[in-house]
Amino acid sequence: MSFIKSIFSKCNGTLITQTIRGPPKILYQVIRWRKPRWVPRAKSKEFYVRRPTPVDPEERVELKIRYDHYRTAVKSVRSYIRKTSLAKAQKEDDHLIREQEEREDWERILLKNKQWNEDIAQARSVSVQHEKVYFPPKWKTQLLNNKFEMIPDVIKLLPVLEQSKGFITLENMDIEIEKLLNSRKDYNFAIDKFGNVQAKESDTSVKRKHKAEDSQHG
Amino acid sequence: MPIRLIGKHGHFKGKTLYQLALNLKNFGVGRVVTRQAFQRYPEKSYYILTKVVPVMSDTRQSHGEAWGHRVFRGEKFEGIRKIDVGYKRDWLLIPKEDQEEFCRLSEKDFRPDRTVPNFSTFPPLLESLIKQEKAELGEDVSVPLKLPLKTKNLKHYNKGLQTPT
Repeated sequence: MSFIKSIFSKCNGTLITQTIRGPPKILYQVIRWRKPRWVPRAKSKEFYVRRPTPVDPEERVELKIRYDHYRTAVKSVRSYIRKTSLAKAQKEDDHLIREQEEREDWERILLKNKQWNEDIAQARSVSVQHEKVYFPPKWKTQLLNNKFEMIPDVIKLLPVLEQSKGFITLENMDIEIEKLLNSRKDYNFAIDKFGNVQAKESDTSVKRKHKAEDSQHG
Repeated sequence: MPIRLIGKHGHFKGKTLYQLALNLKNFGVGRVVTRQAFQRYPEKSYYILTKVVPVMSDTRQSHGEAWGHRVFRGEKFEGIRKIDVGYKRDWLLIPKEDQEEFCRLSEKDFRPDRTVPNFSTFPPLLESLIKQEKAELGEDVSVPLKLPLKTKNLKHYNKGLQTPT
């Protein structure tokens, strides 16, 4: 029965069975269709009230006893089968056995991991020794050969240090200001598109101009 | 036009509990009511009403809540029990004069205990199957098999009989 799963569908009085292998088959078809719900009761049956089928009380009691006994027997058999099958399934899938297996598995994994770690540690120690002998650090070789290379960053910094001698600091600020005040610069010249000085007045004219300003103030 | 019945034949006979209670003083507290369906048992069954709360807006007089002392199949139940089926048109009122006589329980209303067997025999095919399985596992097959019966744990069921009947 497990390889054929029947799906019964009852629609419009037709019972169809669906099988996994092969097309669906019609088991039976009802010719006499049921009356739709909105169709009223037949005129002849309008006031018909069906009387309940008469039951023999003695027969009824006997039938009830027999049916009760039958139901009890069926219930008991079902419960027995359920219990035994459950016990069987539990025996197959016992959690104690499963836990024991899991524990053993875990221990095996731990052991293997430990072994790996030991192997790798040993290999590493060998390689470190090799490196120490054949690839010592650069500073060590330099020390051994008495050859010190200047650090390139310091070389880069040297011109900056040279320039920094001319920087203005708090100490020489007054002197610098005095220098600037005493100096004169002439911006009275023309330039072309590219910023080149084209024509410059002579120094004499500048001086003359200054003299004129001084006289005005004086 | 004469009244003509339609539909199915009913098996109730009587009125709702609230139809009865609404015609009585104090909603029938202290009165004895019974159901027509209780007559199927040889022992007496009735309620002595302690509290009735009908739904006053219900024109059919079929809804409400009711409580009472319960006597079912000659057995008096402890405390006050709620009546859940007061809406069924199956209730009968015992007249006040007959109340005392009706409520008196005699020896006839005593329900004897039933003795139910604990074990029964297996169906033959299942028995042979189980025996076959046991034989495969190497167990003893000569012992006769007993099917434990699944019965209700009712008060009147006396589970003691060990032998299958």
